[in-house]
Amino acid sequence: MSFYSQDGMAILEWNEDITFQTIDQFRENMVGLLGQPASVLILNMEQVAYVNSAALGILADSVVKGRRGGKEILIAGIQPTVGEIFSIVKFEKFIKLFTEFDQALAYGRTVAVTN
Amino acid sequence: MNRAVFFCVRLELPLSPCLSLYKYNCILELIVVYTIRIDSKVVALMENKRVLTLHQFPDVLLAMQNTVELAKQTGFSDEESTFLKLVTEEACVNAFENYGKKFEFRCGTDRTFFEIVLTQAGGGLFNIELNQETSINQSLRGRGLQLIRELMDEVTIDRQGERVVFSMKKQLPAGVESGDGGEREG
Repeated sequence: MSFYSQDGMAILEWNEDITFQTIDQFRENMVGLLGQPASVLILNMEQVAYVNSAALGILADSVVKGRRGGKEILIAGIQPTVGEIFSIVKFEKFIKLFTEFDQALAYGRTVAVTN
Repeated sequence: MNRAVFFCVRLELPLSPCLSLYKYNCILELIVVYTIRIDSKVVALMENKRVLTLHQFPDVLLAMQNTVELAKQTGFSDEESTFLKLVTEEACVNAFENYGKKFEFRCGTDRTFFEIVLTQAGGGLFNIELNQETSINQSLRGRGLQLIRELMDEVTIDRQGERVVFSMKKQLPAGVESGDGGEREG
């Protein structure tokens, strides 16, 4: 897992499936992402093929908390299995989702300019 | 004339050395039933079931591993097997969070379905409400059962006194017949 910044955006690369075994570490990293000094935050999930409901809860909660603090969280690199899980819980209705990381970067640049 | 011969083998063995089965005091009962149809040639049908007693939270991993192994063996795709693993995790985590005691986990196939069953006995109930609303949820919790309902074809809870049976069924993939694990010899 690693944080870095690109074009004024903070990016978290999460590289493993999210199960009950890794959920605490994921929660801590999402808190860390929210604490980054950027208005656009990207979670890159290109290496993730599995998320449980606890992870979905953390993602939803982080997005809501981020918006309250003037931050937009984008989720990028969504793999098909994860995308289907996101679809079941209707994430597309309130979270910006991207299958490609570059798409998220491009969108993030427009948001950063607007801000 | 067709004859059916059944062999039932019960093995008690460590699931995974790295998980220290003995530490978690889990028992895997691997039941393999071979049905052999004897006529001009032999067609071996195999029906697998896995039964675990989950004592502690980390044991959920064993249930997940057994589910995905059996699902792939049955003929489910990698993606479908992942979803069945997710259903197992959600159900077992729910059981530990809301019940907190050991329970029985089993998964297996019959002629039509891949079934995951959690059974509690001796008091306590799964805290599960099957008719939960499925509106957009922006909160931390409340998605586990929604995932189970959406990913499985039949979900039922049978309460008989202090015994509770939580059953989740998924239709077998097209082309997989007779609960034979997708494997035939002949």
